[in-house]
Amino acid sequence: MNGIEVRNLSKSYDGVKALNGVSLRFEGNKIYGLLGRNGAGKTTLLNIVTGRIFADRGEALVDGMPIPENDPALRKIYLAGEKTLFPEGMKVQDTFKWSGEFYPAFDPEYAGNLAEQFRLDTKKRVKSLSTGYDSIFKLIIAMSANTPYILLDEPVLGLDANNRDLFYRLLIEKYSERPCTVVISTHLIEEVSSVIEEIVILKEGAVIKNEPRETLLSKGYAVSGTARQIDAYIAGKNVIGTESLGGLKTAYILGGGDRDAAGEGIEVSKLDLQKLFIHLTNS
Amino acid sequence: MDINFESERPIFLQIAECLEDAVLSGAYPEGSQIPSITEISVGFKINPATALKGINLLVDSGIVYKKRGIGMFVSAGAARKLIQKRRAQFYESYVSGLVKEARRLGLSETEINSMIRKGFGE
Amino acid sequence: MTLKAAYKYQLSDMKRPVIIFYCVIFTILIFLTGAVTASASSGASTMSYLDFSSAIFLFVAGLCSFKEPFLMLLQNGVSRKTVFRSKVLTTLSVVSVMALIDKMILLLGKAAAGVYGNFKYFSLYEQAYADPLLREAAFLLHMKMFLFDFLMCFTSVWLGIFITVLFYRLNRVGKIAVGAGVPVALTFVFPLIDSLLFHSKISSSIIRFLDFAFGIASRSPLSAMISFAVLSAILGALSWLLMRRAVVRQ
Repeated sequence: MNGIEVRNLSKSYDGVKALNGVSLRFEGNKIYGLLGRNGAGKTTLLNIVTGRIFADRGEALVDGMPIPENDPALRKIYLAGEKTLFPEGMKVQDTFKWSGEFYPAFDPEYAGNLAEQFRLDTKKRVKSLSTGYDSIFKLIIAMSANTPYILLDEPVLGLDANNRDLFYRLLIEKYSERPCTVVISTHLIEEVSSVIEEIVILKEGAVIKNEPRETLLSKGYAVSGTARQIDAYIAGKNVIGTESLGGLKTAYILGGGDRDAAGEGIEVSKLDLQKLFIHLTNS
Repeated sequence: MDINFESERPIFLQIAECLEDAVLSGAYPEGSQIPSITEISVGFKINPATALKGINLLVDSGIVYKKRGIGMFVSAGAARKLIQKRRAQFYESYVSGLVKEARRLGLSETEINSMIRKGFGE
Repeated sequence: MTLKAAYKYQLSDMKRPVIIFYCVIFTILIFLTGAVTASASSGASTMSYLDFSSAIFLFVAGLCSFKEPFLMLLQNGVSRKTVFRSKVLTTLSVVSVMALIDKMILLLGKAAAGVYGNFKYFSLYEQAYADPLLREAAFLLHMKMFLFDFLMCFTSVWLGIFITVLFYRLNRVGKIAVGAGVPVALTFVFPLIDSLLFHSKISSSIIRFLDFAFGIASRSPLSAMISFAVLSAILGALSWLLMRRAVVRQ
């Protein structure tokens, strides 16, 4: 199993570079968080990797096999994308049935079970589903297909808090019992933070961070104090953002140790993933 | 049992502590089976790898042991081991910080002692 | 394996329209037969060109058979190569079955015509090609008619597919240019230029070519069959070229 790999992927739309020489690898039965602002290139990346659109340059491979026009390679990945590609008039139960035809490992019992838990009426037609239930039926199929790679593009779009909670628990349970490689692309960073193991951050079509969650979080911290104290402290450090509230200045830093050497009067605190993300991706 | 995601303490440490608390309180008696990695990670909504890390801490310190194919169980004498460990850590965990804060506020040793006596009296 | 699933899906997608089509046809036939036999008048009534209606139906079916199945198959991890191949298999199956059913209806019709003197049943083939002087062996004749029907319908469905894939690939401007431009060019611009500059020589040579290709004057169905075969191959190839770079629109 050597993962989904993209090498030097580039794609432009109307002269705007959606992806700019992206090289990445998703592997090893881990849960990845693919994070980025609107338009950073996440959906483009996922669409190229599943053959829905073509890259201008670069290559995409699954377990060593090039993706475009390769049925065995495409069979290994399931993408629950933002756009619903199922026919509007098809009933949900038929989307399950056909998914079973195309994905031999599809578990119809599990899918039915999930539909019940989410209270999804499988007799409904795709076009009559609300935004939330549209996301739900797609994520049910993604979780039931049992492909080695599962890609989820904004899986909880439109889901209420209860259903989001249910989804994360189901995902963790499924992943724990049957390890696979999952990539979740989402804007709900704090919600997904504890579920993911690896983080990839895209900014304007390029990868700015690609490392384990623990590593990234351990590097980030915030220092607060008077402007003079902070300015003195942050000299020579990798500052990713600052904020001032009256005389109180806060600096956000990404770096190694020596946060203990902050000195008296300077308060050091942890940076959560969302704050880290915001400061890293603010232009 | 809840994880404080805002805290400085890594999640896997908090998991370990939560489980230790449960052993100490008797919720998980010695010899009984504790929830699986799946159940723990689902229950706390965390990545199973993190849950595993926390459990392994308990395995390493002899609080819990794994029976292949069956599950994980609380070791005999686990409660005693935990009490010993926490006693040894008590000074660092509670006293050191207390004294530091007391000093910052200008409280004397006598004042602190009378507060402690008050606490035991209640 | 994927090919099988893709074929199965597209076949099931075609099932309903085909069934509806034949329900309509049968209703008309029964109604007509009933009306004819019930009426005492001696006027003849003809039911003709069923094979042509099948061709029209298949053309429309072709027009509707790309976008939805294409997106559905992409969602299910099917390569475009397999989408095309399964479409070929699907059209082959559907057209063969329909040509067969049409044949059977024709035989029924002929039988009915035999019984009821004032009822006549003709197919396009017969109108165009049947040489009253040539008494062909019944079996050979039926084979030729079946093959003709099959090839005509096959070309028809691929014409529909080609047009719909073309439109899928075109952007908005292109769609208007082709959708409005081509009919206008054919019905106004071309005839105008032809009559003004070429004394309608181009039109007449085109008509002569079509006559030759489809063996109309010569009453040769073989020419038509070859032309249909060639035409469907060209339409198929063009459709593939267009299909292989088709993407999911954002």
